[in-house]
Amino acid sequence: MISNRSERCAHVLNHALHHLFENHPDVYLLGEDILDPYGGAFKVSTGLSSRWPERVLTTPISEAAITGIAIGMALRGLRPIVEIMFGDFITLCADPIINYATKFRQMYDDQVRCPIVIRTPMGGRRGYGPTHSQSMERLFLSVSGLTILAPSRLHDLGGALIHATLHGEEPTLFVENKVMYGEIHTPPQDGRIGLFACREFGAAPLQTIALSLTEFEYSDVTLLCYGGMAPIALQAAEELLIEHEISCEVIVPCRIKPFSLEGLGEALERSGRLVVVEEGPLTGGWAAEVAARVQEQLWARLRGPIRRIAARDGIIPSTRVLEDLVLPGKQALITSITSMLRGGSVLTA
Amino acid sequence: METTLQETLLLNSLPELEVVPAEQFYQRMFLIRSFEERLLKLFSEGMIFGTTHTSMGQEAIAVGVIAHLGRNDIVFSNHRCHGHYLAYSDDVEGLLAEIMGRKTGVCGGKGGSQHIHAANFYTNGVLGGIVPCATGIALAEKCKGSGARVVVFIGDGALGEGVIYETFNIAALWAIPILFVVENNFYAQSTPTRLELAGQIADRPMAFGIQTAHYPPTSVEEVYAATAQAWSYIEQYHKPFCLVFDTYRFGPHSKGDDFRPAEEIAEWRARDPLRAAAEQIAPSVRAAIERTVLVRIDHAIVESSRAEFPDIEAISW
Amino acid sequence: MIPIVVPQEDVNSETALVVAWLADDEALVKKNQVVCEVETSKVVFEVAAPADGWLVRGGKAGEEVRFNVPIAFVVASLEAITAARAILHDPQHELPAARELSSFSGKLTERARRLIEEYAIPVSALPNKPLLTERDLLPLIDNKDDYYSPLDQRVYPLNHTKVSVRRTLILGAGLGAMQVVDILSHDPRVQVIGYLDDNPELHGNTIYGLPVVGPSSLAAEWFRAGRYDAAIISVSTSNAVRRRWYEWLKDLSVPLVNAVDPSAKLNRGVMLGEGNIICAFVHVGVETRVGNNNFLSAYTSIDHHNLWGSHITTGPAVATSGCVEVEDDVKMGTGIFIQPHITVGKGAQIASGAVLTRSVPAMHAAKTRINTELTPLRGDSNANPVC
Repeated sequence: MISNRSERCAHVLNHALHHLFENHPDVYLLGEDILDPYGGAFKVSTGLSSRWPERVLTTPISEAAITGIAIGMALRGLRPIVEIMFGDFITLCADPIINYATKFRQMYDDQVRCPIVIRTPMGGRRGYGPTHSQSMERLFLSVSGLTILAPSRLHDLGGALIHATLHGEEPTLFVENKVMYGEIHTPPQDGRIGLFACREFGAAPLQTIALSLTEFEYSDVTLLCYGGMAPIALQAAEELLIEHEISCEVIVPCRIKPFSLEGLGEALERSGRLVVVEEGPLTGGWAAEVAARVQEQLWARLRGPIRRIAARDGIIPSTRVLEDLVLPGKQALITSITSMLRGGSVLTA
Repeated sequence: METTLQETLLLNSLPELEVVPAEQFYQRMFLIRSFEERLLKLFSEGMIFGTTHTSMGQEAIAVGVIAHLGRNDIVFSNHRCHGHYLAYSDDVEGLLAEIMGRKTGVCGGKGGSQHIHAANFYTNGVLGGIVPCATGIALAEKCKGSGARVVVFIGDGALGEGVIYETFNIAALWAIPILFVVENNFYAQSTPTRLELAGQIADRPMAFGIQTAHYPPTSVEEVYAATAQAWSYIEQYHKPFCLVFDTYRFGPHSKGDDFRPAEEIAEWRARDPLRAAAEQIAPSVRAAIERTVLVRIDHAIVESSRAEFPDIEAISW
Repeated sequence: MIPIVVPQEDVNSETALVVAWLADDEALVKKNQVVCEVETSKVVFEVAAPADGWLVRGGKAGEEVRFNVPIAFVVASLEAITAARAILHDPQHELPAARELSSFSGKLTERARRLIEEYAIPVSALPNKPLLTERDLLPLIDNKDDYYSPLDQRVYPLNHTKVSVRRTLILGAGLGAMQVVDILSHDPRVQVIGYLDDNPELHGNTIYGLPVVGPSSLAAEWFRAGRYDAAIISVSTSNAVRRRWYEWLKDLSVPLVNAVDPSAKLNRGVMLGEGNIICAFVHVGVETRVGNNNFLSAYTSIDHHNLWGSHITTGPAVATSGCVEVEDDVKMGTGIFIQPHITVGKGAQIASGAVLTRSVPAMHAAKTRINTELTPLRGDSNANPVC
């Protein structure tokens, strides 16, 4: 479902939740502080508890238990959505996700399904400090049996959430970027988003979106990113072209696990150079995994090493000035890409 | 052991207890005991790889509780699940094949001794997390209005895990109709409970307002009766209930060393509920039951030993 | 071209004084580099270059200049210098292109903007796109061959370490160039940017994705203009041409790179000069010294303690023994064996298949007679094979 008006992303998600509750009596929502009028810490759950009080369950502060309970509900045919207030708290959900939800289908020899959706906001740039700003989806990349969706404001946000809830074959971690909540939803209109031409790869609503300022005719570097980094990448691509005449194609997947290189092959045919950006830390992140796969599968199209840009090691400090230095911003992308193409020293993450 | 019944049960009427013949109780308990004994022997003969956790000595609880359950009712058990599974399903062949890692096992050899699922029976091997999962199952059944009974078995050791208390809180808060059964066998792996748990076991669910009954070591009939009262409470008040049974396991935690004092083990063996159950039936009946069970188990061993192992297709997820 | 203008910050003055120029006329300046000091009635301030490019100065030091009027330009190409100067000397100077641009509704890249201004492209001729790049505008420029876009430097991936990368021109666009660029593609410190060749029919071709840009004379002017950092001579057929171009490049002070195939084995103590081309599986033994501008074909094996000069070429599979000296300008064919302690004199030519058992004086040819017979095969050639 695509919204036709200019809506903030939080509202788009809220509409999707309303749609789910209206049409599917087996959908439940468990989370902290989700009752009206509060409607969830980021207001994504507004209005649900008033309309469906018996299916919107406000929970004590017990992330592990509520995840486990939701898993039990999913095993028995319901469609529970768990809202974890801050993605940083997903650590408390690690055992139920890793040793329960994602293992049942395989260790029980395909006899059961566990279609649980865990929604949580990740990301910084709001000054919330070290334990409320992290991007932790990367910690779950190696968990077999888990799907991770991390849509950006360019994607069909509502459609992705609905798809995960109703058609997800596996447990799904649905990552919502905090900054994205307040941004206007900007899906492609007639194959364009602003000045960018768009192409889509893979099946909707989880498709990967590729964007180019030069009509996909030529490109100097392919920039791969997801979620909250997408608008920053687009700003960087615009400035790179205008100021430096560097044409940068941006590729934004919606689903970051299982991995897919859709769209990358053709983009690398044009540019031969790949930069992968993520908001999480560098070591063992999503970019590392993508880079390994690209060099395995698309080596012939690469003209140089793949570069990763990520957050600096260490905490995400609360003060704005430091947060902007730690998390990769537009300037970091521009500096890194111009140095990649023009020679000069490396910007280390 | 003194009775530590914490709470009088406010029931309007006692349920009509369906009488289970003593032979049936004995057969089921003997099946579990023989299975577990043969299992340990197979391990020592090198016929089985991996680990297992036998429940010899605790059969009365498995049989007594599960005797109340039908095929639509749901059991969530833990690493020490063989007794519960056999009481629930009578599936000697599937369980043995699973433990022996064969394709014909309950989970195709992938789950093994601690990760079993068939029909409405679930287990997992990480302590603690089974409690919220089972509670979620109970919540789902409540939402669906299915009327299914849900029971989760934990040991005293599992009470170290915080998520259990989170779940007690929510189960009481949301009035989730689930039966928690704590099998207190006084040891968590190699550590005696007094080094594991402060306070009293029964006080724990009580602290969250969950009705709890704590029983000394009892016979299978008494377990059966106690469980009947628990189900009545749950179904009348639509609230959770916790049964705590003191018991003892005769085998080691898994297959390793057992440093418990020999006199202690001997003392418990003297009060073996299996022997108590045997004394309820005629010797000839008993002999017949035992013969049938042992033949069946031997046959299952032969069959499983011949069964195929799964191949790579089995892990093409 | 981008004008440098003194903003009128002080309403009391009508003119400002150019105190001093801090960069030469027609010097290559960088964006934000201070180029001029200007004084008004109140204050002396610095004027910075608005972009990278060549500075074309207008007013002289000590001269009064008006506000909001260009006192200099920064231009993107050498050709625009004349145009800029013309505008500066014309008291009515105006930039019609700049004025018109404000009526263009789309976005422009910086280079596109400069192109429009420099070539005075009218807005009506601009393509109807919401964003115009330099590439969009190149078709509109007459004599675009005169316009050397920095874009063409951007064809090889650059190394990501802190070692600086040298933009390198290959002289010669023949078969040798293909070998050389293949070898250099493995060297992260070298970025080949194109080829120069005096055969005009080759101009505009591409070899392995890189352009044949023009005649060899471009090497001089481009080096002065800072458009490349080093060169290498790829010609393999004529030692004389190699030497001539080498000496010419050295007169221009152009450094040369070595092209050493990754499969070549250079042992301990080996020293190379510059401009050498060392093909696949070449072996150079311990302590051997090799001079400049040599072309060693594949499988050439120079054993230990050799001393080689410059402008030497070998065909494939030339093998020397230890302590051999080869002087400048020697040309060797293919399949040659040289015994130890032999000297091959300056300018000597060794024919293919030669086996040298004694030294060769300068300007001599050495030929080993090998008689290769050709006879038709008989019917029973399978019963009595020749080989």
